Amino acid sequence: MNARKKIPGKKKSSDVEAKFRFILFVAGNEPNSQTAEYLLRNFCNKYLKEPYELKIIDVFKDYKSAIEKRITVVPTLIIEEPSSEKIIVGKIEKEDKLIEILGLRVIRSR
Amino acid sequence: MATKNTKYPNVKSYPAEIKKTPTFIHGLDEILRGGLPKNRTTVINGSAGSGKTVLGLEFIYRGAQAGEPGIFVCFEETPEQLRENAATFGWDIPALEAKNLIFLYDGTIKPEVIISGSFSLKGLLAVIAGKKQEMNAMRIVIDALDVVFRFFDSPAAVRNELHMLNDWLANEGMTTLLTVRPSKRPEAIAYEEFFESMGDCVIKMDIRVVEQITTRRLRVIKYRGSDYERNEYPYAITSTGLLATPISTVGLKHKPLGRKMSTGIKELDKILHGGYSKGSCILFAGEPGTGKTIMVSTFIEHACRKGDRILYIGFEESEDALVNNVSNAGINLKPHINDGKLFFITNYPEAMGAEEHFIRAVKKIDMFKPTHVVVDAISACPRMGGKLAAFEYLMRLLNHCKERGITIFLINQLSGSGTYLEISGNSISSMIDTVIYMKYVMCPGETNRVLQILKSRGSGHSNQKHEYLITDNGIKILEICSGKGEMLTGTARIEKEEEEKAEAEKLEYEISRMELELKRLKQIQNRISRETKLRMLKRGGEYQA
Repeated sequence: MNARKKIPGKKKSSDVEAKFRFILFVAGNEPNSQTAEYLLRNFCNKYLKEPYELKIIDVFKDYKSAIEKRITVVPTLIIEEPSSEKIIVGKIEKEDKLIEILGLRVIRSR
Repeated sequence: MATKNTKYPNVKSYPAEIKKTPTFIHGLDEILRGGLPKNRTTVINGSAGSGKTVLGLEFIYRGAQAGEPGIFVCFEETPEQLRENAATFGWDIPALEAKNLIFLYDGTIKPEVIISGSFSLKGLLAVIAGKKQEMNAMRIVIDALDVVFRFFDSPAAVRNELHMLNDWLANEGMTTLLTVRPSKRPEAIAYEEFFESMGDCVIKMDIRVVEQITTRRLRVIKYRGSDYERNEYPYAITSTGLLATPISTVGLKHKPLGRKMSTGIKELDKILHGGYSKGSCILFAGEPGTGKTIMVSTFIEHACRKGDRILYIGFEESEDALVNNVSNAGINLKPHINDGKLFFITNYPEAMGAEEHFIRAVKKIDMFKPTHVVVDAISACPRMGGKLAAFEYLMRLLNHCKERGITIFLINQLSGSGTYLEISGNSISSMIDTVIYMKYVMCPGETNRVLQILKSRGSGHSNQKHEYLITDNGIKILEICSGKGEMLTGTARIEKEEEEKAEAEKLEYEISRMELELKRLKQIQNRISRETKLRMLKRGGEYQA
C-alpha cells in the first residue's frame, strides 16, 4: 500500500529528492490507524509546499518492514526527513505537534 | 474466557489432564505437574529482580534446544542485553537465532518517541503472527508487558488492549508466557486483576529479604484444568539457569537403612550394637569442645580408608583449620583429601540464601556421589535467613540424601540449655535415626565428658552414659563405673577405684589374718587333743597298775 504523492508544478519532480519522507505503519482497518492515515494525508496537502514522500505500510501485509523498524504499536509515524529520524505513535490528532516537529513556518491563511 | 471455550470445545470431555508444554526448567515442571498449559496463556507475576525474565528466556531457550521454536518479545531490555545475560548462564542464543529457532523482538519504546493520541498493540501482533508463520513458533514470551501499558492514557484503553491480546493469543495456538510486574500505581490495579484472570495458569514469583538474607519463592496461584503443587517453593538463579526445589516427595522414597558400619572406635561400635547404619541420619549434639568434630573425623578417616567417599559441608571452620585441629587428636585427613575421597564445601551461612546453599550442596552431591555427607553444624543454619530457612535447607538436604541412601552426619552445637528439642535440632528430629548426645559432667575440681545414645532407630544400643577422653590418639571410651546409684567419672572414678583397691587389700589382709588365726586355733586344738589322749593313757596305766 505504497502511496507517493508529489506536488506538481516543480520541475521533473521524480528526480527531485523529497524534502519530507514519511512512513506510516498501520494495521488493516484498525480505527486509530485509519484516523491517522486520513489526518496525515490532510496535513500534507494543507501544509507541505515542497515535495514529500508518504509510504503507508500495513503491518499485517508486510511484517518484515515492521520488524525492521521495530514497530510495536500502530499507528506509528516515522519521519525520515528532514533532519534526524523522529517517531510519533498515536493517531496524531493535533496538527500543531507535527508542525512543530517538522519545523514548518505556517502562515495560516484565512 | 469465552474464546478459550470456542477454541477448546472438547475441553470438558477430557478434564483430567490438559496437554502441557514442558518448561525444561529444573524443578518447575514437577511443581506444574508436567509444564505450562499447551497453547494457552500463563501469567507470571513477579517483582523486580525475581527472575521472571530469566524464567521466560529459559523457557524459550530450552524449548528451542528441544526443537520447539520460540519468540521472545522484550519491553524492558534490548535483545543485545538479553543475549549477554543468557551467555552468563551458558546459553548460546545467537546460535539458535541463526537456526531460526529463537526470535528476539525488541519492543522497547525509546524515550524520544513522541506520543500523540491513542494507539494499539496490533503492530506487535502482526509481527508475531508473521514471524510465527515463518519459523513455526510454538512458544512465545512477552516480557514485562506492563511496561508498554504505561504509555496508554487510560485504564479503559489498557483493558481493551488486553482483551484484544487475550482473544488473539487464544487463537494463535502458541504456549504463551506473559510476565508482569506488580504495580504500585492505583490505576494499574484494575488491569492487574485482569492479567490474573486471563491466564490459565498464574505463577507468582517473589524476592524477599528475611533477616538480611535474600531469598526467592514461587507459587502457582491457579492452574485451570490441572492439578499442581500448591506450596511456596524456594528457587534460585544458578550459573546454569533457574532451579526450583519442590519438596512434595519428602519421606516417600527414602531407602531403608543399610548394613552397620564401624564407627572407627571399638567401644562405640559396642555401644551402638555394631556401629552406624548405612544410609541413616546420625546427629552429634553437644556443647562446644565436647569433641563432636573429632568423633565424626574419626569415622571419616576410618571410612575413607575403606574406600568410602565423603562430602563435608562446613559452616564453622575452614578446611585447613579443621584438618589441623583434628590432627591434634591423631586423625590425619590430608591423604584422603589428596586422593579425592574427602571433599569440603565451606561457606559462611550468611553468604547466600538457604536455596542457594541447598542447590550448591545438591549439585556437588550429584557430581561427587559421596557415600556419606557431613553437615557441620546445623546450629549455624538459621544464619541463612531464619529458622524456617534452616528447616527448609536441612529438610531438603536430608531428603535428597535419604533418597539416595547416603549416610548423613549432622553436628549440632548446643548453647547449653540442653532441652531435648534443642539437642535433636531444628524440628528435624523425625528425620534423624541416631542421636549421640555428648556432654560435660561437672565434678568438684574438674569437668569430664560423657556420651549417651538418646535414640537409635532400628537397632539396639546401650542406654548408659559412657565417659570418654579425647587423647592425642583419638577418642577413648572408658568402661562403665558406677557407685551410689550413679555413674562416676574422672577423679571420682579414680577415687572410687582406689577406694575399692584399698578395700580389697584390707580384705585380703583380713583373710590372711583369719587364715593364720584358723591355723593357730587348729594347732591349739591338735595340741589339746593330743594332751587329752596322753592323759587318758596315763590314767589307764594307773588303773591297770
